[in-house]
Amino acid sequence: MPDPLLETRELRKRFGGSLATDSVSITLDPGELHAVIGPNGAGKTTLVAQLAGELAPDHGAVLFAGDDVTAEPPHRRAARGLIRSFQVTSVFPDFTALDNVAMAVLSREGGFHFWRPARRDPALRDPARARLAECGLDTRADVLAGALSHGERRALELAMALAARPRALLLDEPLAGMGPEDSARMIRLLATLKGQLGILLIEHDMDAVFALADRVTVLADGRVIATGAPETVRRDPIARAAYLGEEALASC
Amino acid sequence: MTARRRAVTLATLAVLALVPPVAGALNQGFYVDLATRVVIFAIAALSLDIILGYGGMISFGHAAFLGIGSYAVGISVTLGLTNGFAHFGLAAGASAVVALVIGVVSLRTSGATFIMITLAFAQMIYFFCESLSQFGGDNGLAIPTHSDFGRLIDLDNPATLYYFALAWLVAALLFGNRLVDSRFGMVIRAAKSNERRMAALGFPVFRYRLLAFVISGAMCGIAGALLANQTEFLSPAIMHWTRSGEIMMMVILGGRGTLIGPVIGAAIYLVLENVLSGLTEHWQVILGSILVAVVLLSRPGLLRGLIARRPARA
Repeated sequence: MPDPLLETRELRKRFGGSLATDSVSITLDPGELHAVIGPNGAGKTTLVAQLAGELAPDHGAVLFAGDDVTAEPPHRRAARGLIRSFQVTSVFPDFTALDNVAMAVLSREGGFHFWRPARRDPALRDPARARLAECGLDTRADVLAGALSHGERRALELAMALAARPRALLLDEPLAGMGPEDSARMIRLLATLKGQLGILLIEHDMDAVFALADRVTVLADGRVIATGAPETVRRDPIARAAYLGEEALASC
Repeated sequence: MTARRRAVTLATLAVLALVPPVAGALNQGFYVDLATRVVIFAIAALSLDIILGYGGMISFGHAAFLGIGSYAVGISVTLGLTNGFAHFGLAAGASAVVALVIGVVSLRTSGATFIMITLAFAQMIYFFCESLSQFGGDNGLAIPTHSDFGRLIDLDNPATLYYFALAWLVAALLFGNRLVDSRFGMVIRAAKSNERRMAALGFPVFRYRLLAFVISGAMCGIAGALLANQTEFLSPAIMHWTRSGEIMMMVILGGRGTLIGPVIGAAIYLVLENVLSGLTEHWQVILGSILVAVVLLSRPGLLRGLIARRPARA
């Protein structure tokens, strides 16, 4: 078995009286798509924040490619190749779509250049255009990000994450708020990425999760209550009771 | 840089270049004096615009760098060092070092805290210079000679001093315009737009901001060295906190995030101050009212609409 790309060990985070993350130990292998599901308030976003470094755990460790990164700020982890997307779309609204992606490319190319115009730099523009095209936004390159539709901004967010040359992607509900058409396009896109890099997918959309995931982990009340292959989790009685029960199972 | 902004920049510089011959024809030497002051403060305002307009760092202590540049020249001359290259090197270098120290502390904060910390540092430097009794202390000190650039440039001649300052302004505009559109400039602007996103992409935002702060401080230090050559006088009043406010006013008046806007803002501010103070001793009331009106009526700044159709924010 290969060393995990991303690993948490006994991660714990308390907010007031409740444990938002309760002894969570999960792994993400290289090339794996690992989905984390759970009802609202299960602690999914809190977990992502600790993986990305925006929130410090009270206890436990986060390891990336074998290195303990628990104490590292978000930008260091991102520089290692641990790239996240945000649940609430986070772009540069007054930059064009292309400029947004170019910033992500720039994060790898180095920004301490003071003279040449960045907007005419093929080392930034060409890869940025390629990522935009991959995400179906090539015709929207010159539109301000703030003027894009919700679905387009979600796609832009993914284009930025990819342009930052991730080794592991943390996708925080990439399908949130998307219409069926945009959703289907995003799922196809994620399917093409599968196998190329490790993806930790936090998602509500059960169809997407069971279509894409190599492994599914169910969180409830901050704890891992089930983990395994999608088919195993689907049949797990505890997972069914906690989450899959009502809405999802009917459709599966 | 948009075509419009380039046109406004060139037109402004053309007007400034014509000041000495026009003043000579009108036999009004005083105009050159006023224009020199305008150009010097234009450099200071432009340096503030780089961090304030493009980087979102609202420094309320920028006059401190004006003071440091000025004291670098004044103290050097008093100690017998008159070489102009040394003066300007020291002014920029000392300002950069102080900006580094202020930046390391203040850039860990943001918003109102950042404004207050930069103000506090500026006040500390003000009182420190006020306590330098061997260099005039509170009363100030006359600087007996100008920065000496040999026979190359004779700063004793007011027109030469003016063109010397104008050359610095041209250099600052050229450098500033290249900087804000460079990779570094894009990072600073993007960090203003969405800092959390920048961190998530792997940018050490603090380091970029710190360098921008140092560059800005060094530029303002150059303006201080020019100011010492014009006033031929060293005084802590150069860096009084109200002066920091004036520089900020010039930036906001002219349009932040445009570079040329603050240059025009400096001209409007200083000319208004000059005209109004000749009319009445209560000129500050009138000037204040005009500024309030401009800010309320044209929030992006007087010239921003003219310079860029789309907000130049990012």
